[in-house]
Amino acid sequence: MADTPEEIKSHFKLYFTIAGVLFVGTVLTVLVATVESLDIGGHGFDTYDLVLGLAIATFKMCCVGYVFMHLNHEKKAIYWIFFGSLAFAAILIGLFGWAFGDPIIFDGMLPAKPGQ
Amino acid sequence: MSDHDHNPGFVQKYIFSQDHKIIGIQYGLTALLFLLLGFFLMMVMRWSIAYPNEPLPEWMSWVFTDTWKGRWLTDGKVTGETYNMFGAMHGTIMVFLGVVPLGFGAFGNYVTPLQIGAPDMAFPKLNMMSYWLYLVGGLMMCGSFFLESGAAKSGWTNYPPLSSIADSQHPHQFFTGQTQWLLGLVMLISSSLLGSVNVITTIINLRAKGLTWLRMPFLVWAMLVTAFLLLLAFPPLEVAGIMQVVDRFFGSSFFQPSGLYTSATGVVEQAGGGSPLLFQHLFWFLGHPEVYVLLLPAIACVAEIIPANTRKPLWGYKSMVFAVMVLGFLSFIVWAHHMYITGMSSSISTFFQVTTVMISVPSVILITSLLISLWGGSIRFTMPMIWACAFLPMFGIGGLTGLPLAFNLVGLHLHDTYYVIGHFHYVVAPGILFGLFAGIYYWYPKMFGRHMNVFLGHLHFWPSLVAINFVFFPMLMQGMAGFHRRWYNGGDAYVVDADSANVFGQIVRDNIGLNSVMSVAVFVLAAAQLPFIINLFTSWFAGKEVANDNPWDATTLEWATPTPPGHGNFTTEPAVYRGPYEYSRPDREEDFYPQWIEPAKKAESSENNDAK
Amino acid sequence: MEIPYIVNARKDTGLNNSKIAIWLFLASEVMLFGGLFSSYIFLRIYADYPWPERTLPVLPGLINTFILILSSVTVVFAWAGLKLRNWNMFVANMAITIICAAVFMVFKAKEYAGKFHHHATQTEDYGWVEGHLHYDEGDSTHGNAYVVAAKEVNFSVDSTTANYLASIIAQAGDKLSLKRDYVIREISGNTFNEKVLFEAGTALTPEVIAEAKQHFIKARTHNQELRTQLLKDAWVIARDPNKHNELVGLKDFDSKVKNTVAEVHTALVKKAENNNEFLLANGNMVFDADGAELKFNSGWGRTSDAKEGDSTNLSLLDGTVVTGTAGDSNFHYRYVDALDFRHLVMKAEAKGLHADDLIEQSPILALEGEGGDKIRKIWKTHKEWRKHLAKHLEGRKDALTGEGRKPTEIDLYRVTWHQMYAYAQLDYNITEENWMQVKDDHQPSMIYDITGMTKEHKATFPKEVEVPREKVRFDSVFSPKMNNYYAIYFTITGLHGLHVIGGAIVLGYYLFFGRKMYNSNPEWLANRVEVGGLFWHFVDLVWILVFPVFYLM
Repeated sequence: MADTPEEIKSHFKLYFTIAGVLFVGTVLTVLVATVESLDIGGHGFDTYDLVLGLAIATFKMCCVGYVFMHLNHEKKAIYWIFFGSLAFAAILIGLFGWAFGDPIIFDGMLPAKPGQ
Repeated sequence: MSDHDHNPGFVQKYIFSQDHKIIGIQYGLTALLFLLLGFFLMMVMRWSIAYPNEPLPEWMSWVFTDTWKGRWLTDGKVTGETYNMFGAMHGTIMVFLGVVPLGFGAFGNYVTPLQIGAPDMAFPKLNMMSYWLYLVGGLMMCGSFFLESGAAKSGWTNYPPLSSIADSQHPHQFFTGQTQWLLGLVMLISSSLLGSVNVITTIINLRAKGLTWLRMPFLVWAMLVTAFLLLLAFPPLEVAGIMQVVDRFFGSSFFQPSGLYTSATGVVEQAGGGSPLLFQHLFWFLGHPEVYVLLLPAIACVAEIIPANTRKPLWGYKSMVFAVMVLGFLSFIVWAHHMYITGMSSSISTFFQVTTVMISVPSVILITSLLISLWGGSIRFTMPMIWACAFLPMFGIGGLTGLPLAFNLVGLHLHDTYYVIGHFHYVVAPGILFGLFAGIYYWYPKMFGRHMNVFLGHLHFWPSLVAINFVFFPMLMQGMAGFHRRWYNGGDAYVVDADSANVFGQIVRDNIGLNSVMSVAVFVLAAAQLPFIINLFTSWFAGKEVANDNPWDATTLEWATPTPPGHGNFTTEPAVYRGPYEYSRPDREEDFYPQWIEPAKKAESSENNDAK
Repeated sequence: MEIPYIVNARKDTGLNNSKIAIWLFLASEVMLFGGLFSSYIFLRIYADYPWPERTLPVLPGLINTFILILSSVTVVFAWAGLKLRNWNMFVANMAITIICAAVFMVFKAKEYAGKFHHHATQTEDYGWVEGHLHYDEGDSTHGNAYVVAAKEVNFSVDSTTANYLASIIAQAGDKLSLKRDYVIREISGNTFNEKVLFEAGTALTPEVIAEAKQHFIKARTHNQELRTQLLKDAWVIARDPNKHNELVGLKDFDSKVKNTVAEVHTALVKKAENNNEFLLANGNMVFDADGAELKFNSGWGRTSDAKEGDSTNLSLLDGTVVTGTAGDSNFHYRYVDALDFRHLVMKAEAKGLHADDLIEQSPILALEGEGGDKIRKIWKTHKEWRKHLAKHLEGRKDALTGEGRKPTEIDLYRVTWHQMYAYAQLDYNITEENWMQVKDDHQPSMIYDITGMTKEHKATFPKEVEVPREKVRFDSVFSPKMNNYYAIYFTITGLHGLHVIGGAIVLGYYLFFGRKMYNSNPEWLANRVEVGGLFWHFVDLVWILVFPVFYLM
């Protein structure tokens, strides 16, 4: 780990900056969700709000991960382990979604017999 | 930099031990006891299947108190409720309390650090906690047999809404079998997670000098992949378990669909809107990797035993390593082949069909490599080798019978039939268990300094091999004929007289005779385990002593330790100079060249090459 | 030999053991919360009821987010302090981190407590009222009770639970007397004796039930043993070719064999019965209750949907059955603070019926008393208000679709306490000029989140509203039982809260007991704090996702 005392001291400014970004991001999330004039898309909660909210949340999570959790200069093994698990979580959600979202639809009619 | 003293008392040395070897033996003994319990439950079930109208005979029922019998048997016969309880617990105990702890907990713990040249696991205290969480979880589950509600009774798969409704009409939900099953499962999952973190860290960071990745014995690769499967696949089941606990304790409807009605409660007073399918997906997301967790430690044992007993390197080591990693990855994307009849569209079930067929490829690579490893070898039929050789065709049958089940169309016909039971038992019982027995016979001398008795070994092996095929092969036949799973009377309720027009009843009638064949075979199989139990104990103090620290003349690092290995395992820091299966090298006089033997001082250039 | 790489990194991997371990653990946590969030997604997408959007007060969640972000920053500086060998920096920052954790849990606890005391009742037509129930202090049923004027109580002696029995005795012990003689037949020596264990008129005590249970179990055990033996005998007899040669050669599963065995067994059992070989002890004990009023927590059992005054029976979970006349099991709301017809509308639209007409026929709008009147007035006002909202939204074109905006289902069919208060302020008279003073529920009010519901607000709510039990379809406090939204909310935030507590304990251990390790090997302590900090950041990560998903969507 590149964590000598000097290096750590040089990161202090970055830590404070990210903290600020996180606070601002949180306030932004609330504003976008609650202020009528900032509600893009339709009135009320819809896909646009969903995407925007998740995008801001993802950005904040990446800030915490890259800077506070040192993922910006970690070792290969750690990258494999952590991003591998994210990949598996994505597979889980993706395949669950496909299974739920694409069921057999039976409209109550048997297929027509030949000649009918 | 250690924080333990070097003169621990008896309790700290043997009971709350932090030594991976003691913990491994603890896991092994506990798992074998649970396997025995699971076996007994199955024997009662098989009585009910073969002789549903006859009361349980004295030689089986003496174990139960009269009060228990008065409650759970009717006229001495096994009731449907009792059968379901035994069935659910048989599956749970065998899978979660028996085979996984034996394969991964016992062999993973005992052998892995030795084979990589480590003084212990990376986190000894965590290791100890893993074992005790396992024991507590297991005792919670089995203790529930004595509750008023009895133990869990909704299958080892515990599908809601049945599993939420079962035992729901009890005032104290904490003291019901279903709840204890869920809470015990949370303990077991926590135990597994800690164990897998330990194993992976150990393998990554504590390898001896010179032990590069491709010099690791195949067992270590298998344990690494197994640990990753446990690490990543168990949490969704923990989620499902937690959500079911919330359903039971707080009345939520995670898995309760709307409009549920039962005879006990009328319209169920729950909000509804939940999804039983969600549980199935979460369960099988673990359930499928779980079967590879069962398998890989057994293959690991066989992969170590075969080279040592053919005096040849393992054939296709690199392919096996690659295959086991691919197998691990693929195992995460095949699970819905357990759910073909849940109404998924043809596109997604085809996806799972394709991945399932694909996953047979690495499995075949593993088995074929092991088989080819026998070719041209100087085979020594020691007891471990006999078990390992039996593993190959038995697991082969199990695996091949799985192929039809991979196809969604065939699954429609075979789902929930005895064919499935025959398939997975073939893989686990004559397959995996034989592999694990091989491991026990193989490493027993290292653990206790004495060989297990060979005559008793044969008495264990041959009747087991014959009987076990008579137990499970007829299941494949019955299943294809249409026999359902979980019939507590073995199909007796459907049998019709010889002149009836009921086709299904006639089919049942034609095949129901196999039930008694299987049940008698089970009783023979039970008797065949007695020599093994005796052998385990008598060999400990009266077995033939080992000639030296490496009685099998093997090449991997565990044989470089004293017998049994002491605290810290190795007397000097081990270093590795070559691959794990250097047998019968033409340039060597002896037919094996252990990994740890320093090469004789040669010319300068080769000396430097050997260092790493 | 000691375990290497506990503190120092291994050269080729560049890592020490704990670092690998914590990231492995975090990988499993990703799968854990991944499973939970995937459950959330599918429970929400496939919910067959209106998903409660934005029903949580935002402010506590927002404050908690700030607190966790702050603690994330301070835990980094705590670690930095150790690396810089600045003990005070470590202590100060770690202390703040743990205090933040504690404050977080306090806010969480208050949020939870508020929900567990807030009640909701769904009527048969799928309409909802929410509010607070009226119940006496010390009443453990919390206002949701079954009341029966009992005629008879039938105990299933082998499953009667101590606390249920104690409750019955406490409420009506002196009125309960055994209806009939409780006769048992037992063995003494070699003879079977019948005797009256308890005479009719015996008072109900736990000892009575316990003794009957003992005899019942003994009798059941003995009788089952006897029947088992007789069945074995029946098989022997049935297989005897002298007695049943028609069965020779038949396999055991033939119906002939089975029927013969069954017949023989029945005959043997009858013979034993006539010989009084079976013990006797009834599994049930019936007590006359003489009209005693019994009140039970509704979670203890289920009852038929009888109106007050009709005959009913109540089956408790331990097998006890109370028969009698239904008492006042209605829901007495001290005040109602929300009305919600969205579920009704969803059902109506699925059936192709006109939702607004059905709402007018709802039992909620037919409740009696002043409270009922106020509900009707509020609903009338709300219908007026939403007309203005719709007109206003129509005029504001949506930037993306170009069409007029529409009110949401929440706007149309849910009346919140903010609106009840606002309507009262406007004297239930909505006009073109004043309608915008009423905030729609889409915009949660931070001010209200701070002040909470005050006495002034409550004065405007419908008071003393009684919802008859037979009109109720479902009832719950705001707990996991209410619907899957609350279930998954409590599960995820509860699990997250446990992680906060766990993380705080570990970090606290280093704060309070780390000095010794700092003195002997500060790098080791720094590693451990780094590992603990990584866990803490992960907990923060999860909350960063939880907050918008549950509080804002």
